[in-house]
Amino acid sequence: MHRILRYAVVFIICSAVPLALHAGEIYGFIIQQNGSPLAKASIELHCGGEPIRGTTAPDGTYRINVPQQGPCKLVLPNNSGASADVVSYPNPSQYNLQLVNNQLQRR
Amino acid sequence: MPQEEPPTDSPKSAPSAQSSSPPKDRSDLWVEIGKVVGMPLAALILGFIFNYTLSKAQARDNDMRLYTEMMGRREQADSDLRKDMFKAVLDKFMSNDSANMKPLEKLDQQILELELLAYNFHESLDIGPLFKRIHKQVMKVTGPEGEAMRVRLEDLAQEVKEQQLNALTGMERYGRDNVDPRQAVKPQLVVKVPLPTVDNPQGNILWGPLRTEPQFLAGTPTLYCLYLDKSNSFRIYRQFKLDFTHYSLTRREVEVWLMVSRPLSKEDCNKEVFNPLTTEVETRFWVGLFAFPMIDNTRLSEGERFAVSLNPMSEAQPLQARLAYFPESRASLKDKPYYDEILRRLSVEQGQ
Repeated sequence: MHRILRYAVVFIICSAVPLALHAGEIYGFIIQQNGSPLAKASIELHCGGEPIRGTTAPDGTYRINVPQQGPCKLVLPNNSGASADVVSYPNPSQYNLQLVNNQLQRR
Repeated sequence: MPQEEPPTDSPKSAPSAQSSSPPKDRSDLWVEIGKVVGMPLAALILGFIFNYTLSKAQARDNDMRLYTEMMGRREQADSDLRKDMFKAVLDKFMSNDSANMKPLEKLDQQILELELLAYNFHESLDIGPLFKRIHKQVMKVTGPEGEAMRVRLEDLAQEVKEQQLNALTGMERYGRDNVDPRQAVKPQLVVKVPLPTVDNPQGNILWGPLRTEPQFLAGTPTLYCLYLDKSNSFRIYRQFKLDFTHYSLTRREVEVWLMVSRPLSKEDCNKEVFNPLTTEVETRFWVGLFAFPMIDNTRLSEGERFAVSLNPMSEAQPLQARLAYFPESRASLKDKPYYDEILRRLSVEQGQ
């Protein structure tokens, strides 16, 4: 029983280390319905734990480092909570979005 | 009273007619002389000028042909020599002839061969992979020998990059109005990239219990408005936005997120903000010490290129990245223009 527990602990550690080593990144730009950049807007990434916060640049571009991989939700809390489903991979993932009728759509 | 006689063509006028006939004869005579002498003389002069011009043009053509032939022969001889040299060096590089040599001697010889390749073929061959391979081997060598080899290799790469950048840069101009025109020409576009150091661990976000590799760089993007002077005085303004996103401590490389706009008006280019909808090229790539701008560059429309290369790395100072924006005529010999671009350019020139 102890041996199985030991193997389980080793397995969990081994599988957790690569996730820590290969943090993902979500990046891209967000524009408004009229095509102008969504400048200095707050962004939240909900990936299961505490939300990861960021802000868009004056040109609407954003870049957020994500500690874990997997499906996340990108939310604009100050824009009626408009959201889009995104996925964090080991390599940076690009999501160019447009805010249309308080909905985030991929471009 | 005697009546006045009406004026008639009296014989009074006859003497005047008789007196005007000799000058007419003289002018006829001169015309005749002109016909007899002048025409052949003019033909002679014209013929002489024509012959002179023709012979001069022929002599010039002959000189040009001779010069072209000489240059062609010299080029051919040079190409043959370089081909033989390239084959000899590369064969030696790839072969295992030096199996009896000590590892350090073998590495030293490989660096020498790479130096030959780098100095002679850096414009036509991507030597980056060879640099990376030898650098990887050198990094395994400990002690002063390994350090000396690393410095020698990195200095060589830097020297080649300097040569290429000297050929490539200096043509780009800053498009912003607030730049003094006398200082608008800058041979070097340099971006300082702050790197995380042991002394400044808070400079970047570290996630989890382990320090991430590569590390996330939360720097400020840099925006440039640049243009190149075309031969027909036509200017193409572009915005360049560079964001350094990651830094790999182990590979000693940085990742760049590059966005280049399509050709813009001067007013749009001078805006303080990059409009993502005007993007022509968007790319993310890693730049290391062995990225050579003449070969390793980003292709833009209108026969233009853009390259990012790194200055020597040091943990003690911010990393310096040098940018080069240049026409395709300055690109490497292996970089050929697309056929459709050539055809489009020809059709535009014919339209003018």
